[in-house]
Amino acid sequence: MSSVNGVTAAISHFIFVKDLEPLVYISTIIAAIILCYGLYRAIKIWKMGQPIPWFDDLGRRIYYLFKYSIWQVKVRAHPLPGLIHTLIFWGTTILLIGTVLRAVESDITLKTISSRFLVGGVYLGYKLALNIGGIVLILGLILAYYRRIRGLTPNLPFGPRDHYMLISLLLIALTGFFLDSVNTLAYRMGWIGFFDPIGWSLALLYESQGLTYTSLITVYRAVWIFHMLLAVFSIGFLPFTKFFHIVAAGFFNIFYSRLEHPSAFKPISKIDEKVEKGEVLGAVKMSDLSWKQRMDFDACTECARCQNVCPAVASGKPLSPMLLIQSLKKLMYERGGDAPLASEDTVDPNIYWSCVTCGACVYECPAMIHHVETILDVRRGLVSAEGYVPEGLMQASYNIMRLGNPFGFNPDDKASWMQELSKRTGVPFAQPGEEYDYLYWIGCNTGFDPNIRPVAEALLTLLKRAGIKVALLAEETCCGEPARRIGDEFLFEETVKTVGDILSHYKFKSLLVNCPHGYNNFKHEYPLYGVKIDVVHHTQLLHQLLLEGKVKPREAKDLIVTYHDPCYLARWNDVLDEPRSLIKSTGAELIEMKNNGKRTFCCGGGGGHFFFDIKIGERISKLRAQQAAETGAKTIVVACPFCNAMLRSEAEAMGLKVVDVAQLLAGRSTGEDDI
Amino acid sequence: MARVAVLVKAAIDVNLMKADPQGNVLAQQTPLVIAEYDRNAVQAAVEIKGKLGGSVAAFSLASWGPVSAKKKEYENVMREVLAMGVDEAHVVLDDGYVDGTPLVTAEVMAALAGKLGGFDIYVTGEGSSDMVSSQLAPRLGALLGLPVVTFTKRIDIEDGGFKITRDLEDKLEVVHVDPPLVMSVTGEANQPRLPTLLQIRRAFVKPIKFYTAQDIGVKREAKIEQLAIKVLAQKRKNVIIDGSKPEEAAEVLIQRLTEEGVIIPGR
Repeated sequence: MSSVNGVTAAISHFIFVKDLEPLVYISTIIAAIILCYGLYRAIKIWKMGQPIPWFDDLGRRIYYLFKYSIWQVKVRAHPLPGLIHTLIFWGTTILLIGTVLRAVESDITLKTISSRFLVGGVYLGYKLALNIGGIVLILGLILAYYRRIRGLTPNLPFGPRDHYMLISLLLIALTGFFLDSVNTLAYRMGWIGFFDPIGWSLALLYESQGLTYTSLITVYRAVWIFHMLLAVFSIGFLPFTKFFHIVAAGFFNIFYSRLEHPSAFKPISKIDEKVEKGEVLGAVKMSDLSWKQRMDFDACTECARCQNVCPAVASGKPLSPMLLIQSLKKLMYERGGDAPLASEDTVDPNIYWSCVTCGACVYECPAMIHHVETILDVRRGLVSAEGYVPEGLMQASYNIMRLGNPFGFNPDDKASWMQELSKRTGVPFAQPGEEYDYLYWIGCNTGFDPNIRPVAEALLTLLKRAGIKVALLAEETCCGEPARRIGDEFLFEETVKTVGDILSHYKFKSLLVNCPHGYNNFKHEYPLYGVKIDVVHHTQLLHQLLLEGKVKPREAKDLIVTYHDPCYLARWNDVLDEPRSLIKSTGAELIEMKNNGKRTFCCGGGGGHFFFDIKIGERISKLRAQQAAETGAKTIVVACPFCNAMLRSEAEAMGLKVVDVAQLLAGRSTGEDDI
Repeated sequence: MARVAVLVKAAIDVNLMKADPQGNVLAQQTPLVIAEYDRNAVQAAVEIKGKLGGSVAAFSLASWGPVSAKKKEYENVMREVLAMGVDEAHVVLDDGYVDGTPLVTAEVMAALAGKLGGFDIYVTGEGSSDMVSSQLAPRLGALLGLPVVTFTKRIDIEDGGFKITRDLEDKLEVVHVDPPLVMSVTGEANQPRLPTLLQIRRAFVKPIKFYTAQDIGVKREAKIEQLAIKVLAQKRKNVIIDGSKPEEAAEVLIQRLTEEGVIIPGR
């Protein structure tokens, strides 16, 4: 291997542009000032005077940085966009590290200890790595353009800000290769070879055209200035462009991601004190949100993943989670802390009311934004400050307050049906002092809807046969879940107190529910207000009993079914396998819908939507029932009374039956012969 | 600035009616609720206050007994009314007035109004959801010597007075009336906002005053003779018409209603 002066290294730094060296320092200082100002401005607006806990739970936060920022598990959950992002991310990262190493050598080690480290084999490896970085970046950018031009990702923005991102990176990479090639032509031709594949190939091309490096110096100097200024100011202006996601999402929002369970929505602390003082509960203006919620707005990179999975978007409702977050970001910067979050001239309240709280957006978001928490916070603000609340929701809240159920049904109806249920199944009402394995919380939907009442009977029949000691609760009332989704936090908190008090009179190992909304509520939201109960969903219990051989499923070999994952069971709470295993235990053939598992599609009944309709666009329940019909199955198996009722309202017209997992298992004994 | 009085009845909740196996309504065990149109009356009173300024006082006479057992329920109904924006509540609780005729109610209300210094505008619901006598507004107007406007569907304030649209069976009638006056409102007069628990809690600082017959001084003992209150079961047909194409749905609806004899073509 030959080299210049016997050294395999860059012949010198700033070759051909030595006179322009001060420009680097001047522009870097200016860019650094712009960057610092941008960061200061962003952090100041996130905080709005609130303290940010800098180092709580540091270990977990560093782990999250590795998992979501470096390893990017959520970004890569979508193959093509994941690949593109990985190529661009690693390409840019390699080039950035390369530039930093070069700067360290030229400005630190050389100047202080007259030492170079990018020499010999290290230098060759360094050149090769930078070549790979550049190639990978360009490839990523070409794919990114291809994806956008071909519209491979629906709703992906493709405006000047997006062109700027892609073109600036592309220009940095291309000009970088040009500068590299002229250097190679000047002094690396004899020895760099395949360690600088692009630079060397270009240099060979120049040679073949009879060009010498001296003839290229003027062009080189111009391109060098352009390359350097573009790179330096791209970083400087980062907080003002879409590149800000690198810092706002890649660092801040992931480092400070919520450590609570995703469906344990933010509680309101000292609620009684706030009520006494006449303060608003929830968020009415921008400053009422938390710093983390405002940081969410800056973290959004407009990747449209949330928008493309949102049932409100799919059904033509006013909400798009991405556009909401973008509107709030604009509002935050333009109007500051006093900006009303829901009003005619800011964000239409119906946008917040369109959310079914299914969490698809939260599950998909690679920037760890919690759209639903902000939506619920604004709903609370609307309820407590007497803003616009759909009439059906006011009625549901009123019904919970007055009658203990959101429908406005006579509580006596449920009580007398429970008496009959107890007689028919032999399951007693719980007595204080007596200890039970399970206390069965029937819930409002199952308890009042004559179509769903058989689910309770099927479940109790199975449990009786399995010899489980289970009891009913005579004082059962509303668990408060709809109140929390509606945003009536005060009613919710009072309900938790009431229910917590009722449950404290009985001894039981677990509270059994067949409603995933109740499950989520008891499991994640009750503890926020100090009531801790062990809770089990009926599919979990039945699955356990199946494994123990205590449940003998009826045979349903001739049945072809599809299973609808409830959002509050599958996505929010990871219960995916138990219901499927129960279905398969009957011998029934299970055909999955297009959206299944954690990527399920809402039935349209969540977030209070069971109690009112935004009469815009299509019914979400219809879209989901159509997905079920497309499987060719004739039966939709459900594990949630909300989904049961919503899908039932659509399924009949499509020739489909809806049954709960418990009914499928219990079969004939509960009169479900024709399932 | 207007002094507004709204007359509210705590009626038995017809949606939560308790009955024995023979179909006799157990009124004493049936919960009380603000009478349906009285909720519209409260909303109207609060809206008038919003436009003219002033204050709203709610009046109520306990008409289901025994009042000692039901006092808390009457109080709860008034808490709701206060949460809707009324400033103070006055409740007459006396077993002597229970089951009284509408004349008794009107006399008690008039006496209460006099005791409190009189009001500019009296608003009440067109009829209570349990008894539906629809007599209170006219009787009160007669007792107080004030003009009465019934079947109020829309209230506009102009030239210091009220332009009121009345919803009569086959026509709308617009009248202009200057206060003081008595008006009764229909269910279409407005869209009352249901109070939340939070609003009720916040309204706990507002006063509720209770009165007995002794405080009021009305001695009439006209009682409604109650022979029976029975539950009438009404079977619904529950026909659902596909509403995706409104024009077609309307056609189907007209056809069905014609078949049922609800609509008689040519009339």
